[in-house]
Amino acid sequence: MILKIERKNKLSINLMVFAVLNFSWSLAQETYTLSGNVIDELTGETVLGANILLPDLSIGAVTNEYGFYSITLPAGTHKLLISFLGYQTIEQEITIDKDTKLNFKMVEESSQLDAVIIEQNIEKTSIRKPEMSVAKLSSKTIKNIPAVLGEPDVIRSILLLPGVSNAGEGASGFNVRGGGADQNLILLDEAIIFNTSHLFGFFSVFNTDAIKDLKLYKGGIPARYGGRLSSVLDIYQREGNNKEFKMNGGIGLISSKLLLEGPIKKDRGSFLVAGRSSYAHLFLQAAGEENTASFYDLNTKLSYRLNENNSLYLSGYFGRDNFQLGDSFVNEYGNTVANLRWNHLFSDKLFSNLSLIYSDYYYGLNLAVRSFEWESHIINFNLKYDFKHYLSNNFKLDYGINNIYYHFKPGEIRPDSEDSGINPEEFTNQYANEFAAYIDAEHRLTDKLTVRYGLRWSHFTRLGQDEFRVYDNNNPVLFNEEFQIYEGAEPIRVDSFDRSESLADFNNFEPRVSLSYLLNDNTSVKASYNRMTQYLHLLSNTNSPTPLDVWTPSGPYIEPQLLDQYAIGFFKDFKDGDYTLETEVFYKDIQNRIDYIDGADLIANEEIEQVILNGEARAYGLEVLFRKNRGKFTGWLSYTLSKSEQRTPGRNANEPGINNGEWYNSLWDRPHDIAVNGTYELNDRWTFNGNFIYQTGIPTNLPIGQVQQLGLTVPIYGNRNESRLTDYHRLDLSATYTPRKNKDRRWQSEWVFGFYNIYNRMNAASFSFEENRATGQNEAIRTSIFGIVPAISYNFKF
Amino acid sequence: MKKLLYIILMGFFIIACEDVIELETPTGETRINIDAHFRVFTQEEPIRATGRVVLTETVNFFDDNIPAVSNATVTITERESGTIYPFVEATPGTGIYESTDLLFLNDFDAMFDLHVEADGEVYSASAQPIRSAPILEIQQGDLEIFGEEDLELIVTISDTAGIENYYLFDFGFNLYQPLDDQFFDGNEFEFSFLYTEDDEVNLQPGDVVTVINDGVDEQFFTYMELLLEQTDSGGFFSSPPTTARGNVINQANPDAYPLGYFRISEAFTLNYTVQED
Repeated sequence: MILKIERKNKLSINLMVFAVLNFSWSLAQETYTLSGNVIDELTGETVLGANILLPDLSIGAVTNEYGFYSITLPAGTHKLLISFLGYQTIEQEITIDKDTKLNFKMVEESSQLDAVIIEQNIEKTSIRKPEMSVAKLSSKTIKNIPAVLGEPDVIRSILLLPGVSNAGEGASGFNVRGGGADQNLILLDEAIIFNTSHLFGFFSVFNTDAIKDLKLYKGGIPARYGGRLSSVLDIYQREGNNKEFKMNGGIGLISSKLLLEGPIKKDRGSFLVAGRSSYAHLFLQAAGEENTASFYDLNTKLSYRLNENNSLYLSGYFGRDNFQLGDSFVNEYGNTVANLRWNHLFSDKLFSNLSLIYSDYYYGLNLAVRSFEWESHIINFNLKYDFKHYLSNNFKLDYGINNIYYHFKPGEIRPDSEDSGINPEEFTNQYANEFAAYIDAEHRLTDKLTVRYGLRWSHFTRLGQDEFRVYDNNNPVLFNEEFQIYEGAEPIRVDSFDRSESLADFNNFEPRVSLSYLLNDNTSVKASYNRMTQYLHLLSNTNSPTPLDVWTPSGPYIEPQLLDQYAIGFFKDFKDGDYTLETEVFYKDIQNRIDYIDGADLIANEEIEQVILNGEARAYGLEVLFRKNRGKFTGWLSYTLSKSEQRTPGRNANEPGINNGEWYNSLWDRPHDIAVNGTYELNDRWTFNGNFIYQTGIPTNLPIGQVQQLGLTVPIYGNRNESRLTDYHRLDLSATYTPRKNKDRRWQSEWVFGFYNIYNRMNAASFSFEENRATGQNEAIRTSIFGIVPAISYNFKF
Repeated sequence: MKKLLYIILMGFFIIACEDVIELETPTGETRINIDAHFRVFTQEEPIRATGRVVLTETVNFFDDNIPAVSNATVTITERESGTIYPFVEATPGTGIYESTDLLFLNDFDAMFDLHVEADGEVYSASAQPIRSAPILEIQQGDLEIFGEEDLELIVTISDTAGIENYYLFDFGFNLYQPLDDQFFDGNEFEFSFLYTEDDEVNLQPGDVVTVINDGVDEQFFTYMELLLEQTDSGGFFSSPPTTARGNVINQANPDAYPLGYFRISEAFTLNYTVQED
């Protein structure tokens, strides 16, 4: 269970741990196991990352993502401290003379709606855990960050952390340490989410009200995660209150949301239903506007504790985005996820979770101007069985297996009416299976040195399909030396394979190592290495991913992406942990990063292998995070200095590759990235929050000349991504007002007022170059997405 | 289709704001640009062929003057017979090279070689005339995507079955629409084209527009899609722009490669008189 050690602990307690751990704890005598769950007294929900500490023995444990802990103790009477951010610390004596189950109920320090608990920002990385390159945010922190249009947002929040950026406003997804937006493994209650954006990245698909906890791994990724190269964003949904029925919601300018939760059976089972919907489009429609954009999503969860050793969770997510230009263009896309999990305790030292997950990413298009409808799906069935084995206080093992079966339906085109000239056609379905087994140990070697080491074996099979195109020399892309252009080859034949056959097989061993060495009680150094494999590729050739982009599996013509990442870090607490400093440097190297030939058309292209070239990518950088953890003012300053590049050399001496085979900046390369976030709690009623962001502009291309063809003025371009957009910066401010009358009544409310980009900076999202058709002059046009955006929202709870 | 979808996606950014900014752009190496597009209207009486060779040089994007390349030797040779058809710069200094009779291009089995000699370099390209499909009908629709100024024309063509056909539609005013028959092979197919406010065309009822359908090959289709993407390049959902290399080469000195295209298309045309909306 090594990795899910949370770091929300209070500093004082942390320090106690350090003090205590300096003792030797192997005083051999009879030992017993103390295990159980930590839950919230009011709601009955499990608490992730709570600390269970025995100060006299210098040992401790942390609850896992299902609230379970296990600790080995010598017989006798001991003092116990149970602590968690924002909760009152429990102090208790226990006498242990046999293996004991003990559940703890914690009480929130303040039960006010989202009241700012002063220490809640302590989400720092624990000095001694062999866990680095990890960022953690609670839903409370996320809610405090001023958001565009007033809707708190997970993705926008993590963008304020070092090493995380995106390709600009309106860009979907995020980039971690110079990686692509498709290289993030995004898990919602362990289910893989393919598209994280609503409204082209203006909102993310996660409803913060339904989220309990999230963790972002930028490196040092534990062996239990795999399938994406750059990061893991692991999000857990709340289970819902199993004591009483509760409701909360919010009303904003663009969207509103409502969450209902309550017991199915008191103390045993609960439900949670949370929905969000945008409604700005309704006003637009009422105003006669035919072009609209809207989204909605629904999170549901049922939790049931069968007995002490067994719990069941059934969760679901359903989200859709809808874009409409009158009737001529309708685009709808979204995720559907259903997930059944079974927690089982084999013993008080062996925790297990079995997950069965179904997920369907749907993308549909109705293009009346071309008389057709288009539909595509990625369906997957995912089975995971994970074990957490608490062998001793110094040695813990994680192991498990994971199997994902993929069914890709790249596209089905249908005439949209009887008189459409379109021939119905279904692109060949593709099938694949990804299996992985892993083992991962957290091993405390000495008081100062803790190591985590693990290995993941992944195996990917591209299964048989109909209409598999075979090319001469197995080469689907030809280089036309005469015209110096790449072009698709003609298939020499088309084969059909049975689904049980394998078209291509890939095996990869992915070692993961990280270690932490304590220099003194307040200072540690950490290092990590991880290898990752990614078998799926997002086909995207634009500045930012669009909902039109499709995923394709590795196979005979596309190799899996491989990453090696190295990182070292230095971590220090100051003033008893009032301040913390985290610095890291990283280097990553990616093989088999695909790029596309000039003029590649990726949309509705069944012969995608004909436009793909194989290349590589690399990124390196320095990250600094300085936090103030306590006091009326809390917040952080983050700075990232990094470089992200890509290269696609020619396959032989006669080919130029892309950009003549030279390294070029990736589209999301931002050498400097500074973010400042601060929260100031003035009094019980008013809390202020602000953030400031400064980033180097992303790479772009400026024309190096112009030519006339067919009467058109055409800009011509040189090497790729050599110029940049102007630097990006903005300041956001928000204020939260909690009315005083809240105190003693059931209905509680708050108002959030905010401004996004308060000084109305016109940040360039893109430059485009074209001839002004009215004047005949060539012009450079800057597109900016958001100027100043005010927001107001009203949140309630009862 | 890609281009169209990106334009549509851009349309969603209603909140986005666009402004013209001052920007300095670099100037790359000077290259010759060869603009050699020919059409043969095979169904007209008498058969008609149009086209010319225009030679210019590349200049900085914001330069108002595009220098012409004069005093070049320009010929087209029919490969099998070896017949050479010279092109002359009728008005010196314009860089426009013409031939009085282009009907020799009306041979759909022949291969034609373009030969250009200018400033000591030799550029060459070859092309075979490509078949097209007749425009059966043009109607006016009432689709409006970008605003009330939008004018929709619905064009119906009849595609030839069993062949991968590529078309380039010319809607006048330097407005083009490439189309391939991947999804409508062998069918009568109708599609919409929008004249929008941004096109600065401002068509009024009674105005006559001429729509021309050129037959092109896959290479030119890809080139044309790239060109159109570049004409509005760097946009939000656009692909990384690159210089579109055409089919003209400099065999002796590949580094001094030219830009531009030489093609011969069968063309069909139909006029349409704009009606009251």
